[in-house]
Amino acid sequence: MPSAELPLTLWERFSQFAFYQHALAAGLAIAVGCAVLSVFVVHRRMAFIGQGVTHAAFGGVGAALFLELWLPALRHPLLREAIVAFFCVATAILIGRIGRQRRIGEDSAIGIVLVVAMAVGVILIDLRTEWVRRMAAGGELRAVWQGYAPSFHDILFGSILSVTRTEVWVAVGVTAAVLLWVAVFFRGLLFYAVDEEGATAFGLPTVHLHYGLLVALGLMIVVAMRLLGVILISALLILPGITAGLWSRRIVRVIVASMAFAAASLIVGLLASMQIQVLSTGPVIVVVLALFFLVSWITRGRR
Amino acid sequence: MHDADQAERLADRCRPQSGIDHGPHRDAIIDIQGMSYRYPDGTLALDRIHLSVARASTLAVIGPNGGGKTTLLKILLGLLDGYRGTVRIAGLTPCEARRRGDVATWVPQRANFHWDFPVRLREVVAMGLLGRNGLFRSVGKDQQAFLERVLDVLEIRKIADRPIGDLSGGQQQRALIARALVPRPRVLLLDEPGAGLDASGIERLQSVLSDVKREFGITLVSVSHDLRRVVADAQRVACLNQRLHFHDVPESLTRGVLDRLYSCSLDGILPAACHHDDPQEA
Repeated sequence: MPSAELPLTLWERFSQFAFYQHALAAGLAIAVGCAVLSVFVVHRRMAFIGQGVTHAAFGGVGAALFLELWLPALRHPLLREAIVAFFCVATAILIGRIGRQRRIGEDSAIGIVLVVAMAVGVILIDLRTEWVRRMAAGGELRAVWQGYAPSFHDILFGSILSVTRTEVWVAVGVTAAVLLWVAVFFRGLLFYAVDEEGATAFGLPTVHLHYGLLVALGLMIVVAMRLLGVILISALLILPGITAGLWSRRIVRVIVASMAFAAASLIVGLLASMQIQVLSTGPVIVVVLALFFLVSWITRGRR
Repeated sequence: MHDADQAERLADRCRPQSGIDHGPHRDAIIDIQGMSYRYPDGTLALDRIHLSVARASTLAVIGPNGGGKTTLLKILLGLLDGYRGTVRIAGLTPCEARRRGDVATWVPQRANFHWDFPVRLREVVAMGLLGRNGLFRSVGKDQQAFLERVLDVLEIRKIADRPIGDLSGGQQQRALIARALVPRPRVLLLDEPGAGLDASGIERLQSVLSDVKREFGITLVSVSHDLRRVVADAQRVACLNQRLHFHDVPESLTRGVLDRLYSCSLDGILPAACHHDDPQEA
């Protein structure tokens, strides 16, 4: 069959391989969700919080991998994500709490939490690796479950092409929940974002808005980790919002532009790694986002 | 989410306080009796403050930096709790007043606002209604009409659709005043309203504030460390440096009071005047 010898077109590959479709669906959901939060993150100077929470996710992965070794009931990818989610949200709240103490300050709080979570994550993964080796040697592990763990590369840089159908639904569900929350509390969030103390003085429930935003961030980060990994995810929480902010000064337009930049970069990144197979998708997405920013900054930013 | 529930819990956190309505102060919109406040680290910030402010009057609180002016405002706003003594605004505790969103509103220092956030002036002003209306009720017709009138009085209607970050310091200041006016509060609390404005900006601000006063019959309390910027049009002046050193008509501020307050020479800032010493301390 001569046609089999021809290289497949992009479209043929996309329609034939479910993992590309999963990557696109989950990727678009996450890009849009992160893009909306990014507008608040950037303008509230919370970029570093995103950084702290993502690195906490690394600790969460370590904890999940370690725990499931002892509690076989936890050996399910969704449960693993639930543990990571718990870690992220807990960290977000912890940062929020420590940061509210005048003597410490948010940046130091993040600095502490970030490195500790990373360190604990690495220690737990090391311990797990060692125990898996010993258990395997002692014949305690069943052959079927060889203690599969994502590689450091996957944790750090994501593996969007291995996203499962279930994970697509989780990503879409979490994004929908976050977008709904933002839409419902939109006016309050704006007031909180421009002037937190003022909002409190005017009788708004700013404490709840503050922690709500942190929880939304934590959840979004957990699902986005599968795509971009711990290191690159803050790109999706910073670049779309800051790029969009260069194009408009109206909040709704900024949010729409932010979503457009994130979605476009995801599509370009995915196409690029479909075309050139050695490229990991996550880093390409980040580079595309950075190019959008650079062009916007050169053309719009230096007014 | 359960906003009513949240509101309930915040309201719960208002400390129950026995209502003491002192006879002579019953007409006061703000009534502070023997109020002291310590910072969390134990430093005394405010020491046995007595102050009552008549309805629809203007009070200027002056005093050196670190003298407790902003702390006093934050207590009145219900942002700081844990004071001792009695504080009432329109008969409510500050915490209860804050929950209502339309008793005492705040014009904060401009420095604490994220001016580069992509919002328009009109949106910033409308935020003032969120506390009163709650997060989910939209702006009513009457409220919208009142908002437009506030924009007119403050002379910012023409620039209402411009991004807040593009405006001048004086325009931003007036936007914050408008935000505080739209829920129709009884009391307007201004923190260093003149800060960062040049002489003409201050003049404009003062004329706008007297327009506000005439139009809306509101009680104004402003706090400043710069004597020249507030005293001129205030009916009453309180000098605050941990204790309240004076509270009378501005013309009667004495050199002695000011020297004690600032511990420095004030030549040329204010005319020397007649009265001396503090009736509150007697």
